[in-house]
Amino acid sequence: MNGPVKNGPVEVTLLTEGTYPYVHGGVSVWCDQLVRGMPDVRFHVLGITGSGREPHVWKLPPQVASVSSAPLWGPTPQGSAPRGRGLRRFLAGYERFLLALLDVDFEQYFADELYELAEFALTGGSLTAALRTEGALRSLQSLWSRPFLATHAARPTVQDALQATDLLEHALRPLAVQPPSRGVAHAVTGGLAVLPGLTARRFHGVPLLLSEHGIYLRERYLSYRTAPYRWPVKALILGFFRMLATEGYRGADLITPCNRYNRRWEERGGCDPERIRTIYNGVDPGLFPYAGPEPETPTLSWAGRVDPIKDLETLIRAYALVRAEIPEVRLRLFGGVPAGGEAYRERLDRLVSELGVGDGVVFEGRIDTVRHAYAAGSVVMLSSISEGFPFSLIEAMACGRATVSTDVGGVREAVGDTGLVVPPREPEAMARATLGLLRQPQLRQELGEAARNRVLEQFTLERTVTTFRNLYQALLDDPRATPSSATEPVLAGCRV
Amino acid sequence: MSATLELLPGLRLSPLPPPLPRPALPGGAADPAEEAAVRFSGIAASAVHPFEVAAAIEADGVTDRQVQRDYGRMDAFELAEELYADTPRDYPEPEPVPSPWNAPLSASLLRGLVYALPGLAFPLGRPLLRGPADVGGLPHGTFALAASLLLCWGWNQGLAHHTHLWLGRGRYRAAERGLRRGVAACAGLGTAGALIAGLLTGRELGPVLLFCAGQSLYMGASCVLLVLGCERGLLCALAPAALAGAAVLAGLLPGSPALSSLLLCTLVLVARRARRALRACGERAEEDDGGEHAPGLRASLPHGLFGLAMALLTLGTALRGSHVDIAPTVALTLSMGPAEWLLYGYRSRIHHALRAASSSRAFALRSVHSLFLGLGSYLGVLAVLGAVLGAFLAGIPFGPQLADLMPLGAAVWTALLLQALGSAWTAAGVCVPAAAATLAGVGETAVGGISAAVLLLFACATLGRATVHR
Repeated sequence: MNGPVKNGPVEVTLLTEGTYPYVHGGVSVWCDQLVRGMPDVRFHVLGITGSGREPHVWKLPPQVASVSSAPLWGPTPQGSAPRGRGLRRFLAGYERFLLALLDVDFEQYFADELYELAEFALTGGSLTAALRTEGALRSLQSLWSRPFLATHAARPTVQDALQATDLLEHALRPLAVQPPSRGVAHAVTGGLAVLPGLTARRFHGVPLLLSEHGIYLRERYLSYRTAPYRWPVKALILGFFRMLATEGYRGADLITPCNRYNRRWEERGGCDPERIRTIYNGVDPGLFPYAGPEPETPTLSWAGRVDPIKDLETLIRAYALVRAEIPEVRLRLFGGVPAGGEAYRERLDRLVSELGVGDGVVFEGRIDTVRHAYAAGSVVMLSSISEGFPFSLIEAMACGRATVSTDVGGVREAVGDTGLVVPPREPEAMARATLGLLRQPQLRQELGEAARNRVLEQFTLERTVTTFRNLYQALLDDPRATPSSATEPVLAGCRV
Repeated sequence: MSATLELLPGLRLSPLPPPLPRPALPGGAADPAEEAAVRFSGIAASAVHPFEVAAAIEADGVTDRQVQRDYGRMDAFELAEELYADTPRDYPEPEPVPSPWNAPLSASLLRGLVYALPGLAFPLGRPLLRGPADVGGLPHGTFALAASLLLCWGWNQGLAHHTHLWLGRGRYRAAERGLRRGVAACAGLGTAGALIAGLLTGRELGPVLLFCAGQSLYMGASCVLLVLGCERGLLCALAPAALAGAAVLAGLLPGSPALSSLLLCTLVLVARRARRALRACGERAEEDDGGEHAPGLRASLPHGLFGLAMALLTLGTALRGSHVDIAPTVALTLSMGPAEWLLYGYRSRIHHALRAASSSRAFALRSVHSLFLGLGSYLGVLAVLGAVLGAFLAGIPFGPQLADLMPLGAAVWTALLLQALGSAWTAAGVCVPAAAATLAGVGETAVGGISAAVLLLFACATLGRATVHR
């Protein structure tokens, strides 16, 4: 069933969730780079979306042959539930599936039952209708109230069962989309986007490549901490995400995190280290040339989305400390406020006025040519508490600027010894490092040059694209042979 | 860096919880293990897996280097496993969700009032309705009026349901368009029905037909106002005709064609308000108001049929043999307000029952209890209304009319409940034959009793399922 059409172009299906081609920035940029870098590959995009009515915001190059979407919350999928013996059989499998989510001793059921559900959905059954039956609800309610399960102690209510079933039903909707039947399936994120990749691999033998930028599971754990659900619901849905991650790590032919830091989660999640290969993000040095002389006024610049994950509070506090020593220093923040993020922006405004540094901090808003944001700083700052392998950092480095950044994700691997790295959420440490740089123009220049050279050697877009192009071919030739060639890149000046 | 979608529309989870407070341990020199336990104990207690603790440790800006340096563990995972194992589980409750069904009684009473007040148009319009008796000795124009009323009633139920489907999807422009067409169709349907019924049964048709045309237009426009939540506006527009009608009924004013023109006044007021409400609804639409396919008309069909059956059953109580006794009809109509409120009450109790029951059986029991509580309350209200109105309007004693009214009331309320909870076809499937039986002359007590029993049995079986209430 598998295999490329002889002499035809290589076919790749990108599996995305909430990103390309529906959203700007982040992983979408990476996808766009990849697609544009390979005009000879025929791409399909299968996006997990919300309502299914999202418009494309990226102009798609001709090598993108098709875009389809698997909406999570569009209109309720049609179809009727099985009855009688059919329903009983379905529920028996569903109960094993649930058990695998709730109890580590039954985890081995997960994969088989997941593929059973997929087969049910792909052969004309309505998974949505089946999961919305009273029987499915009762299965869950009686199962998770059993004394040997951890959920028992949390006294799950009928409402909990309704909510958990509802969440699970939406999470499983991607199982009902026809998975790609040829070429390579390339999931560009963990989580739900992996579902069609797993079914493609299982039912059509399509090799699966999984690229993780952030760690999906880790982010889900963090998000659900504030979710409006009781413990049993959280346990079930997070159990699902954890088992899905495990099956993705187990089933993918190759996993390519964008930094070595993320490997820890992948290895903990049960991934064979042999099949992990770090592939760093890259920038086009032509688009980010040397930025030229520094601004006359000492300036700290920052570029990104104004979002809590960027921890601009720490940056502003650090700036206030720096200003106490060097009064003329300014802080320029380039980047838009995403929809729904207005409250955070207001909080920052309040902090700025509380600290009395309002005349030195400027929110510049969205900027079209982001390299100007790096050029505007004597030092480029990154204060995030969570990052994969941040574009803004390697872009600033490509522009030849010295950087101060927080020690999260792949930051240390990106910066190496060409910039200063400080612990996250510590304004004092960030201020100390920044002051050190501001007081030593010579050091700034040396670091900036070293940073640019580091990018040219290690993190060019060309390198990233070529690596993936070769991987696609290798996966098509022999999916399981790739691990032996999976060597880790060696980075100078970087101890992880 | 990755963007994740939440599983449900409207679910917004914060990608990053706020930082944890760093514990200030007494005694200065802090034992790192103790500090970690204090700092992350809350997380570890409510966590569902050690990974959750590891994620929290990382997100709080603790790097593996810091874990090694400060806590003497290999990495965040090792520290997390230890914390998870050592901390007793705790199950923090999320913020309780207030029941969305807590509607104020006044709103429901207001609705009952605007359902019933239009009845006062009949004494006011009597000069238009004078003439020779209809077939069977009923007053002049009864059949034309009834046919027009029935058709409009049924139509409006379907229209209201269809519009709610649009509104529920945020499709205001489509809702507006549907309502505009619906009102026109209602006016046409009601007038045509009156014409046909009049031709078949009446003799002089002119003024009655005029009255019916006005009534049909009023029904359509008031449906718009009710669906779009402008009950107050409707009440204001109704005031001229209702006050005059009440005065005529009480004998304070003699009925006259001049006074009947107040009907026109109310009609114009209602139509204008409906137009304004429609425009406001259309303006709420955002620019991207297309794409999603239309809700099928079939979904609204049982609601229309149910409305028709309800109208027949309600009016049926009024048309007995050769005289018209409107007391039970008025009682039923007025009781629709409290009935809605009691439906909300039922759903509110279910809201709490779902959160209190820990097994399907326990929930089913609570559901049945809730059903009978709601039904009992409704019958109590209806009994009082029926008795009072019966004594006032017709001078009938309490007992006999209650025998007719109570079974019918039980059927009506249970059917409304089933309809609201997704069993519209069942409600229509029982009520339509019941209405047909009434037309065929079967006694109302029997019809009401049998339908109430069937509906109640079905309700007990169906509404005990939690999935019905999702």
